[in-house]
Amino acid sequence: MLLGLLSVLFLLPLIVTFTNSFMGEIEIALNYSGKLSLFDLAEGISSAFIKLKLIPAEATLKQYKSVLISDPTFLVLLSNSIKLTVPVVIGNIIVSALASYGFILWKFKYKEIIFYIYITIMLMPMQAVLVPNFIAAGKLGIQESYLAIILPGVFSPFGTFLLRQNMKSIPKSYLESAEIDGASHMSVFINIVLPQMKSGIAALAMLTFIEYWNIVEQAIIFIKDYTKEPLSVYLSRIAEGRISIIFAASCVYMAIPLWTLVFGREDLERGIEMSGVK
Amino acid sequence: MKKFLFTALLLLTALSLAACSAGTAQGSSRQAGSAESAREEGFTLEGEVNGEINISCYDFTYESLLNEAAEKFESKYPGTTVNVNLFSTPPEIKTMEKDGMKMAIITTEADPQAESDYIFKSGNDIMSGQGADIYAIDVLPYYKYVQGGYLEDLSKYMDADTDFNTSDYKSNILNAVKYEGGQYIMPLSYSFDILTYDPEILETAAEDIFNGKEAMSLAQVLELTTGFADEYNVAREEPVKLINYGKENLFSTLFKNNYKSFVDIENKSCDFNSGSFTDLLNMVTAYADNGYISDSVFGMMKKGGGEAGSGAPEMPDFEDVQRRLSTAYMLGLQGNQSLFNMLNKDAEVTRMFMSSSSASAENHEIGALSANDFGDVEADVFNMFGMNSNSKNKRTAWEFIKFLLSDEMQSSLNIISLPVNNNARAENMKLEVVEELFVPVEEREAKELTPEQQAILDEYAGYIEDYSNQINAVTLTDSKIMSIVTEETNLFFTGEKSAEEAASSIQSKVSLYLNE
Amino acid sequence: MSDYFIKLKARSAGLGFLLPSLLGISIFFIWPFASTIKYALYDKPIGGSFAGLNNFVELMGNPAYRLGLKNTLIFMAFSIPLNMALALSSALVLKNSAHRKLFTLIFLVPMVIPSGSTAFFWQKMFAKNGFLNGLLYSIGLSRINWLDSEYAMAVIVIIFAWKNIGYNMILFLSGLASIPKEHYESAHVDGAGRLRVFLHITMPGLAPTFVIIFIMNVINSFKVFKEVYLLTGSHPNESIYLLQHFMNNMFNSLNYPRLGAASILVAAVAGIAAIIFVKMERQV
Repeated sequence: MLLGLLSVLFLLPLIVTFTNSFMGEIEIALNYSGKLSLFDLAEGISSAFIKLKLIPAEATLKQYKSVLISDPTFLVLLSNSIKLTVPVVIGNIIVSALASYGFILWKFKYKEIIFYIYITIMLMPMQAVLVPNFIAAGKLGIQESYLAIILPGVFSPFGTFLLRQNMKSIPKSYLESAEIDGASHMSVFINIVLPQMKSGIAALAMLTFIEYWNIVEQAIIFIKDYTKEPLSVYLSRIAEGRISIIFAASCVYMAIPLWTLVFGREDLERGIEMSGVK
Repeated sequence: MKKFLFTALLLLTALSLAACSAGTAQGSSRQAGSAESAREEGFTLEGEVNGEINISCYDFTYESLLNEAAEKFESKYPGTTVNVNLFSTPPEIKTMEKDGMKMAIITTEADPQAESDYIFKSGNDIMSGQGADIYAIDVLPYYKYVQGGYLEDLSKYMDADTDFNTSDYKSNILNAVKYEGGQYIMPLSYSFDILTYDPEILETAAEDIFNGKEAMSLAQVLELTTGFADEYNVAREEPVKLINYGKENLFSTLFKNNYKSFVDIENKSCDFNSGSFTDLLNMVTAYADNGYISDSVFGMMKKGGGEAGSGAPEMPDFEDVQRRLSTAYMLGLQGNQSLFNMLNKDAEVTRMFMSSSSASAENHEIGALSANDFGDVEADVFNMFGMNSNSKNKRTAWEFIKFLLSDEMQSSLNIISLPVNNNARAENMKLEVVEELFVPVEEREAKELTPEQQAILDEYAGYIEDYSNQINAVTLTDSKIMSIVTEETNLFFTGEKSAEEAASSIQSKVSLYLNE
Repeated sequence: MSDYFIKLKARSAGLGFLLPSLLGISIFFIWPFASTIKYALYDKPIGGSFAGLNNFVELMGNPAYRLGLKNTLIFMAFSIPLNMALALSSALVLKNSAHRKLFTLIFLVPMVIPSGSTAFFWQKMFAKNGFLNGLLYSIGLSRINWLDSEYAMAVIVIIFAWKNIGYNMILFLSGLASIPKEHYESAHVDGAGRLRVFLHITMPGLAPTFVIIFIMNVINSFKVFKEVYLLTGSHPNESIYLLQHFMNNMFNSLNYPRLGAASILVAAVAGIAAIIFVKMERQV
């Protein structure tokens, strides 16, 4: 029951965004401006409260029409987001999976130190590394392209960290038996290790996707042409005058990661079922 | 083998790090070295005027000015390319129509997020050594940039360039924007304010109030006029108000006049708790309660009507606006553009500029020059530009800035109010007299002035120059501090916070800001 | 001798797997980290002179920094245990629930909503004339200034929890999933009760996950800045002025040396804490 209550709370913003996307502009302004009219004053009401309206008085698809059809900019921005996010997810999974296996294989006294370095790097706040990142991108000549955002994402240590932790639960016996059989490391990796890591990889994919789908600051810095910016940047600026469109745009924006989550969650699910946790 | 691999990797990383840091350190020491040697040996202008420069600005209103300048500059100096980069988007223009009359209202939705994105991006560019060559100082934090050494001191260029004569420009304006003796920004034009009064209402009382002083502060004048206003309005049905300001705007103006007593930028301290701040708030409220000032214009939303749909700031009713424009007010605070009209009320000249406060202010007479509470006459400056200290093409950048100050550019229609260039200013005044100020350059007829017009021009120029000479300050208020103050005081005016609460809230936020 | 080469091959292979990651990290992370250290040791980012530890000393004495530090620590002290407890209990409850799929999706929703929409929503909830205050008013209570008073801390804890429980849940679920079936089966065979299973199989199995969740929570508690910033601007009420506000403002005023010093301190402290955690995990 507690869960049920929590869920409602969790979903509230989503519900509001969703239902409000069907409202007309005027209705939204009336409800959300919370300003007083002269009539209110006359009646002695000293302040108006914002009402959260869940059901539009007049449902209209006008907002969606603006977003999807009349103003093609949104779809361009949306595709930019996709072009940015998908390579990061795929690249990061590959690099991190390889690296996490490498951490297990590599017998080296100081490898733990390298691991600690990985962790510490993750903790640097974004503002601090932004300028050096910018300079580095300049030196590599990738400043103007998406690569400047994609490459740091692909090599982000979080993936390695997560998958390595995940791997710690794989019993060593699996690995050793394969080695004894004389299989090459790569085939051990592909045939034995990867399937075990499915749930971890699914988790990584989902989290990375969400993180880069919502990226804002790096996009502002690296992308100069505003037709190339991802939708997340556009939606981070809510000018009061464009509220109505924002709702519809947000719904379209959210649909994609939600869709991905559905898939990712399935893999997670299977992982849980396979592990027999009861 | 493995050890070798590892050590190799480590060495490689270390080497590249060392190289990078050595490179940058060298670069930085080279710069420091050259700056010092420049100061020691006497700075000279080197290099040619060619190549590319980038200008970055946020405010869209700069667009036509910069594009015009870029075009003219490029044709004057072939081989140069000037790139103008604007960040913001133009506002929407809404029109209202009634009884055949059209009124256009331009709503600038100040997008604070876009503004802070611009500051964020510019900061990043500058720190990574990649910024534009010239920056328009419209929203950027000027003091912080100067303190960090990111803006070039233009005075050394001004001295070294034989082509540049400080006497050609209104130097007290240029000096007024100096910071710790350095000319880090160059303003293109300026304006000042005059306190005015309605002679039909005040009649002889004006003498007592203004008492022959050249410059007074708004606060002083208001105080002196309240006594008169009480008497005057005793028997009236519709009391005449002192001045056409709502609470918020009046407070804002009075606050800016007294800014230095509250904020000390150089010492990074502020004092809002001393009581004078709350006194100011209470004084403004008292004025409002006693009916001395007008209602705030954009306070109320009319139910069901108007352009309420978009959620943008509500527009007032048509009749409302008309009514406001025709009401008479005792006093006014007007910009220098009204000066011409006030001096020549009887003459047969076309009014170029409408009064800024109300149509009725057309009748006003000059009272005194507007000063701040410290007795300094302040000017507003427009279109300020600074040069990036890390610009790769400083010679051309300086030439461009100089070009913006030239006779040619300063007479452009894109310059706001009074140009700092003396010749351009004199020319503009003459054009205003012959009513050709807004006529495009090609269509102007080089008219000779009639003796009558000459007399008008002499008087006008006399006033403008005389007043301009008294300008000795430009208080560049920090926009962050102003926004904090405005936000909190608005809460006070809507009754949500008491004066003390607002003051202490401002104190904690502003001192936090100054401490950073 | 060939034995040596075989072992060598094994070790090099490991390195080989690790190589792309190491290279990428050196370029995109270690180099910027080193740059930041360099900035922190100079008094100006470009053309400055060596300042040694001056920046650090100055930083410690800066009242804005101290305020940010204090508030961030308070924030983390409340949020992290709260989030982990809520996420873990939800994950455990959910693994038995029939509606697992649905609920997991629900908890993930907050992470997907764009920052603009969430800021808008929370603003309308917590503003002075917002929805919550409207509720309070209608039952006769006085309004609370949620965003500009001591309550503000509670507000951001709530918002952070809302946003991040999903994140933690995914990690917990993945961690639960990686505990091998056999452990549970053997426990079952031994006739262990649910509590014993939980304490001796699930918790130890989750130890690596705990480590990562803790560290990620620390990192994410920095990221909460984005929502707080959209709600209350760059200089909010004293009680929610976080380290991130300080650093963001440093960035905008181009005060790189101070920013660098603050970041290094943060990374150093957090890094040490993380390492301690990892060491602890070893012993479980």
